[in-house]
Order: sequence, then structure tokens, then C-alpha cells
Amino acid sequence: MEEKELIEQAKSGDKVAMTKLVKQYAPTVYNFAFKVCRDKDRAENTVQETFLNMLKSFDSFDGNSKLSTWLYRIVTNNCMMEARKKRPDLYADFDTEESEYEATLPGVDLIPSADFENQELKAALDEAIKKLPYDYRVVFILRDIEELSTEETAKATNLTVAAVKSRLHRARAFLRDELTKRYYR
Amino acid sequence: MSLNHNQETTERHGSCNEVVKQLCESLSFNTDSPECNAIRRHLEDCEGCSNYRTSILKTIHLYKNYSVELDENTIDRLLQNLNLDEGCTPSTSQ
Repeated sequence: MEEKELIEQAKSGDKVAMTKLVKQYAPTVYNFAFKVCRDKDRAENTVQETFLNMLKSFDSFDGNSKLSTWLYRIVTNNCMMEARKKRPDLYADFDTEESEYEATLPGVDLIPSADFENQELKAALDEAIKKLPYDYRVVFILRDIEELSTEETAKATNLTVAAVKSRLHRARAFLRDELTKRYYR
Repeated sequence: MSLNHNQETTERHGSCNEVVKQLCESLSFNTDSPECNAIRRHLEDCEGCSNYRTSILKTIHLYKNYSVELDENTIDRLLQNLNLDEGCTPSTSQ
């Protein structure tokens, strides 16, 4: 069955179709939520919130974008609400839209290759991304990790295309810089 | 930004600052536009910018591959909490 048909059935209240969609998208939503939250319990709660929202407001899904983009948008809204409860001083200072992030040690490459048995590397990745404000974190994950286009990322985050590009540039440079500093010994 | 570039490279293919900014647009340079070609040439000659690009690609690769699995129990719990657990598994529609 095509996804479009499945969505129409789910919108009309068909529980089998709803179950299929939840099962199909739960791993994607969970991974995205984990990458944003960096916490398995919070990711699980976010998945539940996301699908509750999806089932409640399925009628507002017009089918003009992919279902995954719509779900990313719900997760992003949930994360942003969570972020508002947090102290903003926990995050790196990205004060104005125009300011350039100044990378240190820009001309060197000290970042290790992927070895996920290495707990130190996992800790370094978690620590670095937790310093990023949520809106920068979400843009980096949607654009570079989930490989959405700039336009799709803008849609999912309610940002302009220019703001997505600016946040992406600064998020990448910041994360790269944090990891480089960690391995500069 | 004080990239380790040589002056000659900068004069021929634009500043490292500009190259780093342009890297945001496309890390793969898969078009034949004049801008893309200029950046490609700059990267060939400038070790600092080339290292910068490599480390950005590695950063993305690391975050992309650091993922978690959603186990079956969690999916079952999720379906139960959404009231989708009883008599509506996909097999019932066959």
C-alpha cells in the first residue's frame, strides 16, 4: 500500500493504518529526538508526545510535504518548548544573526575517525552538541544528519532559508572546533 | 579567522574566509559553477582550508553514525500508550 493511501486511511480513523505509520516512523523520530535531546528517556517521551500530536492533528497535515518533515516539525516544536524551560546561559553564546563564529585552530584536522566502542569519543560528541542552542542543534541535525534540503529544514523549523544557512555554518564550525580542541594535545 | 593559507593561493582563488563561508553551501562541490570550481582550486592549493573541510566532514560523519536503536518493547509501549495496541496490528488488515 502506498504511503499516501495509508495516510488517508489513518486520517479517517483507521487504527490499522495508524499503527503501521507509527511503527514505520517511530525509529526515525526516536533517533532524531535522541540526537537533539542526547538522552534516551527524554527521546522516548518526545516520541510519545510527537505521535500523540500527530494523531490529534492529522487533519492539519495537507500532504504537500513529506510526512517525515511534518513529524520533524512536531519534534522540533516539542524540543523548543523544552528549551524555553532551560537556562539560556547553559549554551554557547551565539548572540547576533550576523556575527561570525571565530574558529580556533582552523587549519588542522585532529578529529578521530568513527569508533563507537570508544566511550570518550561518545562523551565528546554529547558534550559538544549539548553546548549548542537548540535551534542551531536542530538545524545541524536536520540538514547534515537527516539530509533534509535547506528548504525542508526551513519549513520544519519555521526559519528562513537564510537563517538556516547561517545557523548551519555556525553549528558546524562550533562542533568541529569543540572536537578539535578536545583532541589538540 | 586566521587560516593557514599561503598568500599566493589567496590571491588566485579568493580568501580563506570566503571559502569557509562557501563550504556551508556545499561540502561536495558537485556542480560545475565558476564559484564551485574556484573553491575546488583553492582547496587543492590551501592545506588549511582543505584540513578544515576534512574535519567538518568528519564531524558530520561522527554525529551521523552515533545513533541509537529503538527496541521492540519501547514500540509496544508506545502503541499501548497511543491506544493502538489491541486488535489493530498490521497483520489484521491482510
